Amino acid sequence: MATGWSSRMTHAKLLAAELLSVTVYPSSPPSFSIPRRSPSSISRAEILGVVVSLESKPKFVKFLLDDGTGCVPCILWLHPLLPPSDNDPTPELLRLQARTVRLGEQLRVRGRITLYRAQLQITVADVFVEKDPNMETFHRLDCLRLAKRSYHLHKDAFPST
Amino acid sequence: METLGSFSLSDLLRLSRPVTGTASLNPASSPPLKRIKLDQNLLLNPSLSRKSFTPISLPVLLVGTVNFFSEASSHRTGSCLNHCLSFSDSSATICCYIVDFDPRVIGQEIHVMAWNYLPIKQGEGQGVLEIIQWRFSSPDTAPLRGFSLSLESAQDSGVKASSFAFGLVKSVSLTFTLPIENGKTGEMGDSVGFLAELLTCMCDKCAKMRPSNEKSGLHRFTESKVVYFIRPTHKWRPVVAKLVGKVMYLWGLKKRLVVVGKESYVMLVSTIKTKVSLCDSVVSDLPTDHSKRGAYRGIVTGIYLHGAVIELDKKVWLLIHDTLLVPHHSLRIGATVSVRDFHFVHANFAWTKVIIVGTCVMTSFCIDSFAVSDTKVLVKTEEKSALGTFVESLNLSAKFWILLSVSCFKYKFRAVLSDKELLGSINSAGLVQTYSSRSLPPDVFRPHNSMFMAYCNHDQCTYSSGHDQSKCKLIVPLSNFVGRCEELWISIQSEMSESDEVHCNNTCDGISYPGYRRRIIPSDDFGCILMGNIQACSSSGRLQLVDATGNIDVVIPDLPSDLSVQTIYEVKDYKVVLEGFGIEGDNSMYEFGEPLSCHAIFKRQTYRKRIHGLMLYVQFYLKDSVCLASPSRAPSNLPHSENHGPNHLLVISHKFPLTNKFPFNSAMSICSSLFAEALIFPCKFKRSENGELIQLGKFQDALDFSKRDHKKASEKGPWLAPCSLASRNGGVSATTLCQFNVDSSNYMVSKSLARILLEFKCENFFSYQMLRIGGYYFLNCSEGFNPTRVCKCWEKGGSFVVTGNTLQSLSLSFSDDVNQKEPSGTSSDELVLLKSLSELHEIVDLKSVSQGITKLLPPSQVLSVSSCLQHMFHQNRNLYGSTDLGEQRLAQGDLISVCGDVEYFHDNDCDSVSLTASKCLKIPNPRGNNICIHLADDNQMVVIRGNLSRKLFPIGFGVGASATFHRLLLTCSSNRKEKLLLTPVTYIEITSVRKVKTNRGPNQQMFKVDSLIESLCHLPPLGLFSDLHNKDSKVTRFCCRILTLNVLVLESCMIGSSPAYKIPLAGFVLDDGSALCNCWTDNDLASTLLSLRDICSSFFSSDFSSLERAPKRLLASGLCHCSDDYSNYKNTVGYYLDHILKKHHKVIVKNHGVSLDICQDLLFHSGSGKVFSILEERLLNYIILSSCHGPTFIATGLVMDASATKQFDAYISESAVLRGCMQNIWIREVACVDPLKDAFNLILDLKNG
Repeated sequence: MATGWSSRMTHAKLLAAELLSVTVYPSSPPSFSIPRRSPSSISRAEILGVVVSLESKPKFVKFLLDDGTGCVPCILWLHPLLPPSDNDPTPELLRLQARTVRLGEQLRVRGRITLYRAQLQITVADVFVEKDPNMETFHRLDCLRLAKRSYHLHKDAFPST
Repeated sequence: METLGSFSLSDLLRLSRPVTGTASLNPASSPPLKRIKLDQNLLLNPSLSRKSFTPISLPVLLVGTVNFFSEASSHRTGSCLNHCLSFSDSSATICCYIVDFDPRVIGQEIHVMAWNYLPIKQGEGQGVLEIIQWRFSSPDTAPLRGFSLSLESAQDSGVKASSFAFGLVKSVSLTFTLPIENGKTGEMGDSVGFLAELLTCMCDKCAKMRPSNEKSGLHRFTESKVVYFIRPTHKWRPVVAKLVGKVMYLWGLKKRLVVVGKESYVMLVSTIKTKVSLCDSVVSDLPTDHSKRGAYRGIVTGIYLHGAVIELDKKVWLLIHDTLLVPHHSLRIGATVSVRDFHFVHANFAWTKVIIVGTCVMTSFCIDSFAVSDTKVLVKTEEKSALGTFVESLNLSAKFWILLSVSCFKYKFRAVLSDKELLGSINSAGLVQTYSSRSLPPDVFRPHNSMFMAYCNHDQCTYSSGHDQSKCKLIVPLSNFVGRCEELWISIQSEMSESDEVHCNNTCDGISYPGYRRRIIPSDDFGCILMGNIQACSSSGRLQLVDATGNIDVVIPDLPSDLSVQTIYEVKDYKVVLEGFGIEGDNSMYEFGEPLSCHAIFKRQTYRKRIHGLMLYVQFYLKDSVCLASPSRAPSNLPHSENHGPNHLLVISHKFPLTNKFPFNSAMSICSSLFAEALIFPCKFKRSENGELIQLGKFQDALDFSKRDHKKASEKGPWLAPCSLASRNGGVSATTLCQFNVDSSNYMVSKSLARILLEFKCENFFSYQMLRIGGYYFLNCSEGFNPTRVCKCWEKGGSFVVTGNTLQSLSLSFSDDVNQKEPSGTSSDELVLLKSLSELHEIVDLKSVSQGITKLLPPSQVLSVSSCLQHMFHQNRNLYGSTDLGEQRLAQGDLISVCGDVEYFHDNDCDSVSLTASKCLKIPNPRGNNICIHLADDNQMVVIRGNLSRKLFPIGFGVGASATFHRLLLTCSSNRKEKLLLTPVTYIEITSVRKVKTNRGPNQQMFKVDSLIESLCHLPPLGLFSDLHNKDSKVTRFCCRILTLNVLVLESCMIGSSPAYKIPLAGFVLDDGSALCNCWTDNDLASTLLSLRDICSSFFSSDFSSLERAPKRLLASGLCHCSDDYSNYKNTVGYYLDHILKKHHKVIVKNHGVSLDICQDLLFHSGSGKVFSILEERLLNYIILSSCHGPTFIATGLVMDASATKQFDAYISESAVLRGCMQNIWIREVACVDPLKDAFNLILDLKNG
């Protein structure tokens, strides 16, 4: 895997169990690394799973994404950090994305790995609805491939599914 | 009171048509008679067919006298002598038969109340009167005393005749003629007469001729006595035959010793003083201890072979022992008959079981009621032939079989053989007799005795009661055989429908197709023998077995080159293959009516093929068959020994398949010619008288001559045969340019061989079928041998029209010839359709003939499926593809040959590989359906696609067939995926077929998976951005998503009169999970990544107030048309982009932000210097943000080096450089993720480490 800046900007494709077991390094912002992997830290992740819990608020949508190996808390903020200008359609796009988050929907989610009340979560950057159920299999195999060829995980580090 | 009409017999004879008449339903009334003249006007419906009875419109009766025929009567035939009495009035005499017979009627005038009249066509003025109801003309004329027969005129002749007999009439023979010699005078002469067997009582009173006063219970009729009624009493036979079972007196007999050969019999012989009378007071039943014989009464349901075979009640077959017994005038279909004292056989033939009732010399046969519909009178016209004598020498079951065979032979070969050739004549045996005498086992023959001997020695009758005739097989008419096969196919379908097999459909690309079924049935299961000529069908080119009733496709693995189409072959050992897809609908709609039943054979019921989806053919070896019609020409696998002329040696390089020239009119789909391509050796050979090959001229000389224009022999190369395909009118035509390069020094330079085209006209399609690709043949040279000049046959590009004996087969087998597949078919489930060349013919050691020829390069190498896949994988795909040629696309690629097992095939109408748009436009394709064939070996599978009409399928093509596809086109689709295509020159050779196992086990995978694995073999593994620095400059596939945009350049352009845009450059940051990468692309691919063609209505029609106004605002600013013509396009992002660019001409978007999360730092540059409106900036922001929220996709690209990326420096901002330290790739192709296919690809990737 790339190192340094590129590594931190890359969305590591991870399974939930793997993501939830990352080592947190107390810093500001905190950095994360996957146990028994190359020393580079990660800050962003991409996961794929089914929405099993949903909480919609005016400012955010909070949901649990289950990929069969674990459930990852995700939060989608409906307002950007900076106030949007007139020519920025980001808020509307975020709301459109929030609408796609529904119970039972299979979603591919990218975002930053963050901590909230000492619990790991994904602060969602974008959501994409995967209609094809075979995508789950493909994602798992892709995670395995990346773990083997890029993240250099040990064999026993990969969660048994 | 109504009067009764009466007319003369001459009127009836003159009418000459079947007539029926009746007087009254009430016999008690006797109205006055009125003489009338019978003519057409009196018929109830004279317009009725002359083949049915026409009633007379008036009540009529016939008046006449019943008597025996006089000896001098010209009406008498063999039939009349045995069965008929005469009925005469003053005008004429005709035959008559009385149902309700009273012996007292003889010599009396009667009134016939109900009758049928039938003219006998054999001679003018003859007819038969069937008397249904009658009475004596008046009570006065009725005889008061009992029945008595005598020759009154001869009572006082002074002849001594003191013997008498009293007994029960047991049986009466037919009238026969016996040559006799008077023992006393030595005079020779013929004795005409019949025999009657009486069971007499041996009590004292009977011996004293006083039985009339005794009660019947006191008599025991046990002692057999034979009475010989000779001329002139022989005419009594019709009456005596009706007295069977009655007790009668006989006076005026003489006891005589009759010596026949070495046997002598004491019997009572009639004299002119003989007198017969009935003893009504004594009644006795015939003894029942004769268990072998019995009585049967039934309705005639069929009469065949001039009355030799009679079907009773549609279940019993009555065989007439001697044709003298019939034709009985009243024996017609619908009549009720009684048969007594017959032989009964339950015969088990190979194909069916039948009940046979056989008559013998003692059988009595009488009509109980007349037929009312059938008017065909049987007439004995033929003399007894050699075949008739032969038939009489057989036991019952064999006799029945041979009569059935006679019917079959006549039915099958009436067009090619005359009756004399088939049935023989009085002195000579025909085909049926010679065939039967050879086929029948010796135990079916029995000694043939004269009727006299047979009657006297009847107790030793050789008929037996039961026969197992499983060796007797039906010589089946091919039409009936096809009917039987279809009947079997329907029953197979029904059986499978009841089982689970019906659910075993196959899938391809996720689409389910119906299951394919094949059954291989051995000949023993049919119990039939196939017989006919072997011909090649002029429309399909297929080999067929043909007879007058129909034909059936055949496959002959050992087909020789000298097969005669005139010869009739007998095929006993064969296998029938039934295959096809399941029949939709109700099977009960097919009714066949037992095509192999004896009824269908005798009645010559014809069947035509009705199930179109069924492929039916027969496989057999010619070595196991027998020539019938021309026995002197035995089939031979050797070249003609009589041909001593010079021959060219040639090897067949390709056979061109039959093409359907007139696909829209099946009536015109007759191919005039078939073609094959051959390479011809530059020298001539001659076969010597002792069969050795002699080379004429020096081979090297000819080779030197041939080297004038070929390439250097040292060149090595593959067997490539470049091909170009051009599509015309929806079809595909091809021109091939084969080049055979040198493989090794031991190979002969193939290019030095002249290539010729062999043309086969319709009448020689058989020769085409005999040819095998890779096979060696001799071609007769018409020029003779001249060492000083080159033969014209060897001119390149020449063509030959092949005639009957032009080609002779030869086999050359080289020990290291890998081209030949090992013969298969050892399994009982597998059937060989094509033998390997090496085992087909005599092997000639050509090395001993000419040292110049050591080996010829095989005309084309046949690849296995696995090696084909390897070949496909290693081929440089850039060589393939398609180029535009006007509106058509020109496919390019190699022609290869592949062999494997057909796993499945199906129609594939919506396939994307169609070379033309005809499919999309629903234009009927003249070449047939677009089909998809799954060809597999033990490890791999490939898919072959193309157009092929089902009518042109080679025999055996289907699931489970082992096939070789010659000259398939290996090309590449637009997505760089190799594919195999059928071309118009592709020849499919079926080597063997095997039984299709329809019960799919739970662990067996469906074709979907096989298909995927097969297609994955083409896909290179996915790469990672993190590995790019280790990679060479090579096209790699990545699974990634857009993270953000680096730069986007948009320019306006015009397509026609419409504004449009183009994208000279687009730079994205892609993320594949391992690293980030700068990716560059332009135009179409950039447009795809930006989703500019996608509908953006979801965005603009959202319920956000600011965006709801967007279209209106766009319209207000002149950016948007409201025309409905743009109904689809106006909703796309690209539509709005067009109008933005109309204003700004060129737009450059650069990302100056360092962060990758949001696109707040996008800078927009206008080419026209105008200011961007907020809405325009929103739209551009929307385009870029949407692309960053897009799906995962597969990008195929090439790593760019530093010099290549320098050209983009002007577009790249500093911040982008800050984000840099990434690799740059140029994207060549973008595709959606196919999760299933790519997942398998990942599995293979992970498996391979």
